[in-house]
Amino acid sequence: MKGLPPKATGSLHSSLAYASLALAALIASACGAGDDTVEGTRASCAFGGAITDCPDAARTPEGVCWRLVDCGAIIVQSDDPNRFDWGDCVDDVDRLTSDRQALVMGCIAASTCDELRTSDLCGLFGDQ
Amino acid sequence: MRPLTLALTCVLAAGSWAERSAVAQPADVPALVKLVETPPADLDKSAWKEKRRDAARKLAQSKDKRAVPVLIKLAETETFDIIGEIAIEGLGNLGDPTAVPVLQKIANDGAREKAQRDLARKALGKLGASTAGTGTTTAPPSPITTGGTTPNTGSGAPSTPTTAPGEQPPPDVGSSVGSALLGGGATRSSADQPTLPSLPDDTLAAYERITFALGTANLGYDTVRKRAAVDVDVAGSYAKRVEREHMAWGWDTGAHLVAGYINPDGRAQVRGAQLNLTANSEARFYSGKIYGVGKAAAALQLDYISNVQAMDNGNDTKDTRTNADLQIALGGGYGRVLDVGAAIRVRRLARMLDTAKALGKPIDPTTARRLELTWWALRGERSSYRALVSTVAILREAGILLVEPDAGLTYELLSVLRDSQLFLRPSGLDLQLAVSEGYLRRPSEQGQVAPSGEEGRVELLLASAGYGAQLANDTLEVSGTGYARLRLFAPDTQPAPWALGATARMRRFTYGEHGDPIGAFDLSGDVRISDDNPLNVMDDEIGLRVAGQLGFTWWLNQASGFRLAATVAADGGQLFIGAQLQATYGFLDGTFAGI
Repeated sequence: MKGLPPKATGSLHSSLAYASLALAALIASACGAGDDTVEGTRASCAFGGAITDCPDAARTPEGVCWRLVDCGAIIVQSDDPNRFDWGDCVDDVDRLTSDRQALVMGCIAASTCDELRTSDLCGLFGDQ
Repeated sequence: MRPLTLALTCVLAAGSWAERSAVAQPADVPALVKLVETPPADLDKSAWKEKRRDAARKLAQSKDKRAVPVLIKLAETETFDIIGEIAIEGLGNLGDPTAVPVLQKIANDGAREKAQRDLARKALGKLGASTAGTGTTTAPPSPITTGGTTPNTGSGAPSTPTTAPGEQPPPDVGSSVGSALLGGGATRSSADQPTLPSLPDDTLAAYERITFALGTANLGYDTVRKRAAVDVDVAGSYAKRVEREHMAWGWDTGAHLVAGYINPDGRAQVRGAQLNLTANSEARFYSGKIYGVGKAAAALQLDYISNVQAMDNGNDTKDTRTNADLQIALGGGYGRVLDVGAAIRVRRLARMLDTAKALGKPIDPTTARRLELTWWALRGERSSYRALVSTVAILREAGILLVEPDAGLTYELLSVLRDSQLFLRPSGLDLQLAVSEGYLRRPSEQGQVAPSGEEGRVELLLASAGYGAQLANDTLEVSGTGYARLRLFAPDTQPAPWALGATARMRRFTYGEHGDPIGAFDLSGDVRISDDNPLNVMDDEIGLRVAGQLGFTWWLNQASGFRLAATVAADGGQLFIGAQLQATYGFLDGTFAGI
């Protein structure tokens, strides 16, 4: 039987956290505008199978469309009207009837990234 | 009742005689006592525990009075090991009346496991004593019974009830400790104390999580449009993890089903189902803070979709496919991150009692363990009644809670027990590097690479990091996670993606004067870099996303609260800004019925 875990003390930990956040803000401000197509950054689970895990996507149009970007199924932004990007995705999911919307969002949240990249199963749920 | 008791006594006596008859060899009592009390230098802890149990069994059968004190001590102190039960049973077999007070105390201790209380009652029966404190036996108090005595220094402390000879004693008198505050008395509070989960003695932390999520389940028929629709989204998961000094293991499994059927008027019809099954496990072996780790993961996804178009133009779709993953990983690392939420609850309890001048002594590790396991055992209860009564009983029994709680102290105790801000509170540092080998089954045409870009054998280099600290009396949390992955040995026809990322988060928890959770302030930042180019293998674009969120949740009262959150994300130069404000304000209903 061990005692209670020791309480961490000191301000170093908080300083590190603040430093990390400041670094994040710096990188954000350094990001220049891209060209007319932005592919998007992939999440830890985009490749590698079940051993690379991701948390559940939020069941909102924005949340599930970010999951599609995370998985590499769609791009973030494109000026080409023929390319389906994050904004098109949010618009499409928003326009669905409530029953189809629930199915599409549940399907995207439950699917693996490989499935989202290769199959339009979730989109077929929304095909009206 | 009396003939039944007599018959039971005869049966127990016969059993006792049979057990004694079975002991043929004299035991080396001093050597056995020494083995119980002191670990030999040539035995490791787990081997000693086994030998110690054997020694206790032999002492229990020895018929030697010298075994009584050591068994009394074991019966009193070993509440989480089987050796305690061996000792309780043995005290009944040895027939020494000096064990009666201790056995009575155990039999009436509501915080003890039911099996131990039953064994104590059985042993008392063998000794011809009742379970009441002043029973029929006039045995002197044992000189060893000092470990678990209750210094009833406060007002309203429970007194040991007296029972007339031959009268049925009240059940579980000891568990009435703490029940007076609710006016329940012994009868209500004695109702079945929880059976505590069994964990090894050297457990540092453990959790068990069962989650069933019924996202949506709708069935509808629209008579105007003549349209039927069914959709189901259900998920369930189970996770368990035990962290011990020299090893840690955990596993989780989950299932998620999404299914739907939409049938508008006419030819069109969509029906489909998607079933995901997952299982993950991990084992770590520690030498100091360094560890070796083995992991396994399996997943199965079954899809079926049938989409019939409104017009019969040959575009109907029907598809069935199966994806499967089977992967293992081996590696090593440093440290560990534990969820210390239960320990923080104990610390909050101690601080609250100290402020109320009701803390007799610090909460020792044994009592903390009993409290945490009791809360674990009662986690499924809708009401906090049993958690409150058990907590007070344990604290009173250990001499930590000096007074019987009044209304104010009871409220503050409940605030601590119901504090929902004490879940998933990480503490520690964990760094890990592993190599994974696995097989991914992805649907593809014969001889073709799966369009997902990965199929067959997939090797990965995986790194992860985790950090958590609970500061400022556990009201400030700083935590972070990091990951990196790189596909190794990819064939020329498949990409070798890599990605890395880190998240940092700070949360500040605030409480009111009487321990009510007021709210939490949270600030988080997330950085990701990847080179996955799944849409174009020839492209070599590196993605960078930076995101941050600032939020504050403020509970005004039970019916009112605010949640304000702002999110900023930049991905490849595109900026996404979002803000959310949720506010509800109201009073709890005021009602009156003039009957």
